[in-house]
Amino acid sequence: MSLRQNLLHSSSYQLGTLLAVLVLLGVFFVSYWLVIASDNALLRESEEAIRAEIRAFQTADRLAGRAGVEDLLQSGMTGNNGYFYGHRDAAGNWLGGNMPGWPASVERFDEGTLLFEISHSLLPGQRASIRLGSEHFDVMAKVHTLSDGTQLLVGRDVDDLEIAQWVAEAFGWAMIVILLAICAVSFGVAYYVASRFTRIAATTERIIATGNLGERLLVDSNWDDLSKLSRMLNRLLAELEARVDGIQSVSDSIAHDLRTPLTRLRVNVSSLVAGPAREVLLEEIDGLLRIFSSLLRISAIEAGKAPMASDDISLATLAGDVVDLYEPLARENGVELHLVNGPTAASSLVQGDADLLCQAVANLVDNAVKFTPAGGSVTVETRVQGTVAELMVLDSGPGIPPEQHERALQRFGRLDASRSRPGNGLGLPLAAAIVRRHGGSLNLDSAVPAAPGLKVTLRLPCRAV
Amino acid sequence: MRCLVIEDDAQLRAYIEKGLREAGHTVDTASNGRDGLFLATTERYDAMVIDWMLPEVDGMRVLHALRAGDNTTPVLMLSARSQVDDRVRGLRSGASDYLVKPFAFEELLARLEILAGRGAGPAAEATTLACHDLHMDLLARRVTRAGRLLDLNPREFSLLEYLLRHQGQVVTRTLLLESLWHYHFDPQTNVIDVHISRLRQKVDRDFDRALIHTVRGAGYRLSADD
Repeated sequence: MSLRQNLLHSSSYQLGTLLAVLVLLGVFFVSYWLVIASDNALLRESEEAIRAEIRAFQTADRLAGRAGVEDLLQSGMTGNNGYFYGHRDAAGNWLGGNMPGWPASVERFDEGTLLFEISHSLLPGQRASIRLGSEHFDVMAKVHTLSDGTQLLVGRDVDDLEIAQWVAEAFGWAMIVILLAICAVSFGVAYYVASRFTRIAATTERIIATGNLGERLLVDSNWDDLSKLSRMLNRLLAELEARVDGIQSVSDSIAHDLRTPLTRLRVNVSSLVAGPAREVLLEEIDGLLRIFSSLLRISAIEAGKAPMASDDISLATLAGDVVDLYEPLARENGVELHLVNGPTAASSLVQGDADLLCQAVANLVDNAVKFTPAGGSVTVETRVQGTVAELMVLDSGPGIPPEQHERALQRFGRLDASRSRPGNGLGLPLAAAIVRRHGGSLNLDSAVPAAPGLKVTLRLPCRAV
Repeated sequence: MRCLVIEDDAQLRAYIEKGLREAGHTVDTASNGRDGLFLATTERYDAMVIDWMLPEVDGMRVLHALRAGDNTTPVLMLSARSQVDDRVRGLRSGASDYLVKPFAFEELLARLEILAGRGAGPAAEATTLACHDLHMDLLARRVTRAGRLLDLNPREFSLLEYLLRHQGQVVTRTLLLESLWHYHFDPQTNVIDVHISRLRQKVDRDFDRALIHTVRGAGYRLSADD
């Protein structure tokens, strides 16, 4: 499985992605508020309030003239409603207001709207900006020319609004940075966890595939639950290895202790007077020895204890040799034996032990020839698909029901219906063990759907030459 | 021929010794690697049987010591282990042949005789082989018996060639598999027997005297006498 697929199928990675999506939604909302804040919406509200106040003065001017304006001005100043007022005549002489004087330097905020500062020290009373450490008010104001030509300035202190806007912006950016950091961290954690799990799974899978219980998981840290899991799995492997070694040494000593007396028995029997009884005995002993050595061979191969020769083998050549070996036997049994080599089969090499692989293929052909009734046919076919070399043995025999395919590959898993046939039931399991040892697979299938006959497919990794 | 048997199992050693003597050979024995190595380097033998696992000096090191001392006596290694690499390691270390316990004594005898008889049979570069009235022309790839041409396929031809080169000796089934197919394993069924029986049909059926004989419990022998 590729890394990408591994990540997609990892629960921690999926969780991390979900978290990241939620966080990104959060970023989106904060950004929205940030856009609103930077749009000076609050200052525009303030501008609108000033405009409303000026409209009140316009009304007073229209109805009561200058006196009305001055009344309103007076009540506004005494009401201490937060507005700043200033009044001057056309020549620029100060007429009154609650400001120290007409502002000297102004900057334009908008069309008809000014921004300027008023120092605290110039104001009567304790009025001070809410902005900490500030010596002045920031004031937004509009100037209106009244009907008698005098100019009226109405302003508002916008310090609080500016603070609010600054706070909103600062928090917004901080939130975005934090959320993006969370997003990155959650992806990072997910990737870390997923890749560690993938590594553990890959090592475990390799151990299962090769049967090499001596291999251990990598433990590169001490603090987290994953390294604890790795250590636990390593302990499990050590325990398993010790037990398998125990079984192995028991069967090895059985081999050593029983084979020598069996050899002697055979020598003794073969020195008896020749006759049919002796032949039967010899055959029985040879059968026993063969079962015995097949069993030990399977164990040795499965335990990965049997180092293999490493030859470059062409499955096509191997199939040719086996067919050549079995052709007379097949002919004697009235079975046609065919060999079909795919176009590229000869130019692809499999790495492995030629004797073991030959034994595996021979066992498959042996079974097929044995179980195919006279008049039937057995076909050995090789082909290469990419980096996989395939060898198929198809027969027209009775086949094996699909539900028993698994059992047929196990030791002594010979199926009841075929008990009366020759063989010790170790041919297929031995072939399967050999193929697994080479990193390949052995599959049973029906030769033709809904028809009798068995198809055994042997797959091995290969490379082209 | 003169043989040396180095084997620590006293009974097995005695059986091998007895069997070899009955077959008409002279046998020296040793029960451990040290004594065996001493005998092997001081005496001249036609062939040796060395067990893999020996007390004192193990079989592999005896073999190494012999080969390092330019001793080219054919050596047949014995092992109780069925491990697949033993054969490879054994042959790489200079063993001439290899046999896994348990083995049929006939197999051991056949292999030992073939090992010791190397070079004694028809020369490797001979272009014709013959036994009684059977003649094989290796260049023309023709086989005749009593002047009659036999129609053999390539596999039957090489099988007969092997038998002719080792005529008079017992050739076992596994030896045939190894020599003709170059694979070393135990076929489940009697595939080799079928090859022989087909060959026999062509070589012996129409003639009074059979040349290919079955040696019970061991294998086959090609010879003019019974």
